[in-house]
This record gives sequence, C-alpha cells and structure tokens, in this order.
Amino acid sequence: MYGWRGTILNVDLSSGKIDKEKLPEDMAWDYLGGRGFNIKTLYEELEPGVEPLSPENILVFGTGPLNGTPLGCGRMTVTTKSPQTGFFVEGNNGGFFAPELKFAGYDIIVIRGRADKPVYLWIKDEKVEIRDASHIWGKTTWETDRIIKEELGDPEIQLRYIGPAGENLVNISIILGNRARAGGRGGAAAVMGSKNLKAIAVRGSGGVKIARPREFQEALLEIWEDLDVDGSKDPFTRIWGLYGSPIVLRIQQEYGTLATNNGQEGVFEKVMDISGEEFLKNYVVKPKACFCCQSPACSHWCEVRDGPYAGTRTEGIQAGSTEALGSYCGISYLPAIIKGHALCNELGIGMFSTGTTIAWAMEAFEKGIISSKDTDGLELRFGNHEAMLQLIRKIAYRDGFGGLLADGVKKASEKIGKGSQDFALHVKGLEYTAVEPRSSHVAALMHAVNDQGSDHTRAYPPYPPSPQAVPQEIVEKLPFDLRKASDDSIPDEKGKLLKWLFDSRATLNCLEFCLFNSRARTFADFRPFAKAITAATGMKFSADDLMEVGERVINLERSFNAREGAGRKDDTLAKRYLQEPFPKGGKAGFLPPLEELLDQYYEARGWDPETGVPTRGKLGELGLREVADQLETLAKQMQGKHDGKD
Amino acid sequence: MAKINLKYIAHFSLLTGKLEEGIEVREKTTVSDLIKRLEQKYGGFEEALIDEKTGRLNSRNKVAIRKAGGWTENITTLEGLNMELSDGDTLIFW
Repeated sequence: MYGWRGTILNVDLSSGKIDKEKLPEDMAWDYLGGRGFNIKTLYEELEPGVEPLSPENILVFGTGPLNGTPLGCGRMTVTTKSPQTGFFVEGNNGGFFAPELKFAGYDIIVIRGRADKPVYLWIKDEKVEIRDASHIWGKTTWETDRIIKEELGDPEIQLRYIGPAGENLVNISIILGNRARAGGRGGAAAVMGSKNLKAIAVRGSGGVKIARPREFQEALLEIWEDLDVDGSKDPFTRIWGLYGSPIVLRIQQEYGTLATNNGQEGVFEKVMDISGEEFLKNYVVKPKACFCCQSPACSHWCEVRDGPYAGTRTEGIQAGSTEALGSYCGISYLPAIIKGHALCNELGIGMFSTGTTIAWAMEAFEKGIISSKDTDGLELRFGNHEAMLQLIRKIAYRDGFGGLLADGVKKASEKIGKGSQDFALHVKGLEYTAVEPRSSHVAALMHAVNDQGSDHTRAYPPYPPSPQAVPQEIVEKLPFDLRKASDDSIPDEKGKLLKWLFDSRATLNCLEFCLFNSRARTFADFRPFAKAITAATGMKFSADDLMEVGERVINLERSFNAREGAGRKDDTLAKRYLQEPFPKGGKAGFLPPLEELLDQYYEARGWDPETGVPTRGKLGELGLREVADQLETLAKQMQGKHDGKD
Repeated sequence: MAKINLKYIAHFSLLTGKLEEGIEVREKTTVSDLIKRLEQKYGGFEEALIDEKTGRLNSRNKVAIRKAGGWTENITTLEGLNMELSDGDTLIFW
C-alpha cells in the first residue's frame, strides 16, 4: 500500500504469540488511521462490560497514513478501555515513535492478554520479540528510556513506556515516549501495567511509499504556508512557532478564565510569576519539537539553575503544566511547577489529572473536610508547593493519602464525601483539563459531551474559524451561521459549531496530523489535506470524504460508550461549572445553559435527544448498520431486565 | 483624561519591551487612535494589527477590550475600532 504500510501487528502477551495481518483496504478508507483504526478495533474486539484491568482488555497503538512523511509530525493514538471511567480512553502522543513504527513496517499494534512477568516488546523491522523487563520494572520513564537504548545498543530506538504509576495501576497514569510525550489519560498506562508490559521499543529501516510525490509536495507546501510565523493569519501560529504555549497563560488571565484555586476563581493574582514570559526568560534552554514539525517552540528543554529545585531538567512544559500544577493549586513558584512537571513525566502520571486532584484535596483541606490526619501530616493549603511535590510521589506509589488520590478525583471525592463531590472537577470521571467550561458556550459543551471525559483537545481550538483566514467559498459552506457561532453572548449555533469542530478534529486525529498545526486556512479548509492524502495513498479522497470519516469515528466512539450504558445523563459538568460563576475578571458571572446546548448538539448530530445515543438512521448513513443492530439488541435486553424487575 | 491599562502579550511584549503599562488618553480617544499612538511610540502595531489593503483589523493578531466590570471582548469590526475609550478600560494586545 502507499501511505499506509499495510500491516497490523498482533501481540498476545498471555501466549507469547505474535502475528501480522494485512490492513484491510476498506478499513483504511473508512477510518484513515490512528484514532479511527483504534476505536474500530476496540469496538469490534471488546464485549461490553469487560474489566479494564483484566487480560481481556486490549491496547491499540495506531498510526496514520501521514506518519513517516513530513506532514505526520510524529502524532499517534493509543486507545483502550479506561479503568478510571469504564468508557474508552485514548491519548494522542507526539514525538518520534509513530514514524519509526511505520519505518519498521506497521500501521497498528494490538496488545492482548497479560504476560506472566514484566516484559517489553522489541520490534526491529520484521523481527518482533517479547523480552524480559524484570530489571526495568520499578524504574522511572527516563531510566527506562536510557536502559533499553543501552541494552539494545542503539540511541535512535523509539519507545513508549510506563513509569511506576502505571505499574502500580494508578488510574491517573499515562504512557510516555521521548521522555516528555505523554498521552492516555484515564489509565492507559495502568492497563499497560496490568499486562506487565513496561515498554514498546521500535526501530525501522524502511520508509513510507508516496503514490504521487510531486502532488504530495505541492499539498505539503500549501499546508506549511499556513504555518509561516510571519505570514500566517492565525495568532497562535506565532505562539506555537516562536514562544510556546505557556504564553497563553496571560491571555487566559486577561479573559478571566485562568482556573485558579480549583476553579474557584478565573484570575490568578500571581500570574506574572508563572507566565510564559517568565518561563522563557529564566528557564528555557532550547526549543524541541516532534518529527518534522514546523512549530519548533511547542516544546522546550528547560532547567532550574538555583534555589531548592536547582538541577531539575525537563522537557515539554506547556500552558497546561503551569495551569494544572500552578494556578489550579494556587502555586506561583515556577521552579516548583517545573519540578512537578518533571516528576509527573518521570513517574508516569498525567499533569492535568494530578493538578486537578491535588487542587480538590487542597480545597477540601482548607474547608475543613479533611485534615492533616487524613493527609499523612501534609498541610494541603493552596500555594504549598512542597506538599504538592510530596503528593505527586505518593500518588505514583499509592502511598498513604496518595493512594486515595491515585484513583482520580471522582472516586476520591466519593470516598471523602461531605459535599466535596460538588467541587470535584471532572466529566465522566476524568479530571478537568484546560479551556475553562465557563470561558464560552462551546467550551462548556465540548467538555460535557466529550465521550472520554473532560478533554480540551477534542475540539481544539474551541472557537470558529476566522473569515479572514479561510477562503470565502469555504466560509459559505460551513454548516453553521458563522456570525452567530462567533458571538459568545448568545448560545445560538454552538451545537452545530461543536459538531463541526469534533468531526474535523477527529479527522485530523485519524490522519495523525497535529491539531496545533491546523490553523488559519487549514483550520476549516480541508482541501489541502484531501490533496495530500490522495497523493500519499493513491486513493481519491475529497474534503467531504475526510469530514465523513471524522463523523463516523465520533459516532462509533459514542456507540462504544452507549454499549457500556452511557448517554445523556453522563453528558454533564461538575456542579461548580453549572452553578458557580467566576466572581471577577473578564468572564465574571457567566454560566453555560448546558441543557439547551445539549439539545442543540444532539439535533446537529442526528442523535436521540432523550438518550444522547446515535439513531439507526444516522448510523446507517455512516455505514454502521451492524452497530445500530447491536445497540438495539442491547437496549431491548436492558428493557427486558427492567421489565422483569418491575 | 481617562486612565487606560494596556497588556502586551507575545509579539507585543517584544515590540514594547513591556508586559503592561498604564497610560492616560484624552476624552473621545478611540481604539484606532490608541493604535496610532502606540505605532508612533513603539512601531510595529499597525503592521501587526491592520490589513494594509482594507484598513480593517487582520486575523494575525488580536486586540481585545475589557470595560470596567465587563467581559473581555475581541475587537473585530470597524465599529470596534471606532469605540471611544473610558476611564478604567483595559486593552489586551496579543
């Protein structure tokens, strides 16, 4: 095949059996890659009700047709059933693993079963073996990275691995690679840990065949033109390209949406101390980027040179790091945030979930719901960075009070009770990430209806395209009224806008193109992507074909969760987001009218407005009739059980 | 005279060498007048914000305003550029 390598790698850790199967052409057409391949595999393979930490659960690592070309940027998706939410969970990691996997000859890895001792997978072109990892078990991600490269004798090997948190089945653990490329919130690393799989190592010597190289190069240049820091018509191009996302912190502050002290406020008085400008001036050593990326300031290598955390070196500080480990926890000491970021990466826990969970504990402490007797003696007050850093370690090792937080904020708040559930910030059991639900109508709706829980990346960026950046013929075809959708003083058109954002971003995740790089024209104009994918694969895709893939994926993801019992009742927000407006700042007083927004969204989707589940008609349109049959059968079985009880 | 707060983020902090400053403007000063004043003082503001062909705001950078006690709103239209500034207004350039 062109574009794809045409091979699925199946690994059964229980039996040790490894086999390779051909990637079906219709799967490539219908799902493109990455996120699409993964949810199709997960839906078809898992029976409803599978225990996430059992050998019956699977882990799918999927790449897309653009990985291994300069457009792929190293993105890839890992998908599994979450031990934290009971629904599917996926993570989109960057770095260099995805192109290397393609160079080795594979599009997808499916991991099944459970090894009887710690192992890692070593893929070198066609040779694949399961190797002993007993000597690495317990090591940090950074140690794992070094040890495996040393023992295999090749510093260019690419890896995905878990830290101690994944081994300890911590719900808020994540999978990492290239020491800082994280993904899989909701416990993907715990699933990997439950399978005794410490790491996957890959090295490839092949390439990705392009069907029509000249056309591909033309499309590539069209897409890259948008990413020129001087010429781009989108302000974020320059931010990603020159400064890095921590610059966004002061923007959020000025719009009154910088979640502070567990979201009690939208303005952090000490924002200057943790700003992107402060970070760039005093801590950044050099920019780092993913494979072939045109936005080199997205990630930074940074160092703390003095003070109690001197010697800390890490990579990948994003705005999310300075929010989650900073303003959420009321912490204004940037070296401590950098240290916390380093610890999260090395121990393998997610920064957003960690910050949100610790911020909840700090609020519970300050309100007297818990005391130092509950927290192993820690004075968990907002701003106490020493306590935060101790808790990060305790979470990763399930030590004392950290063991409670290791299950995530929903379960922790349910155990503590006493009203603490009201300020436990999560959706479907997954902690709040970024883009405050009280920042706009579409942000609120985005978090609420997201099938894997709170996650700002599923509709990023969460606003409509600029008519100045997008060709007029594309503006005219947008499936929403751009003027109303752009007016956040009214809820109108936000359901249609979110559907379009979700579908188009899902398409990009299937291509495994980075969301940071779909800006300006290509935020809305997918013709260059259609040209690129057609030239790469030799299969003719139109922009509409690509958007349909995104819609199919969203419907299948929702159907996966529906099989597990999810529906409209789960599409909600934490009580704070619905009842407590920010008291001051640039968005003071705003609360999202969630029920109205949900009605809009389901109507735009063609889903049942009462259940929030895809209808037979919609699934049929997308070629998912068998899914419709299964959902109907399950609904009848549930009704039968319900009637039997009556 | 009206006291105005100016916030400079990303590109604009490089243009000005500052993160923020407070200035005073005469009554009936508009957003457009302010941009001209900042252009004279620092340079680069009009190029960053205004489309030279149409004279309208471009989409490469943003200017937003927060009236005292109000929400922060992006300025996107000619009407917005002609808005008169009041005491306590905050303008954000990014």
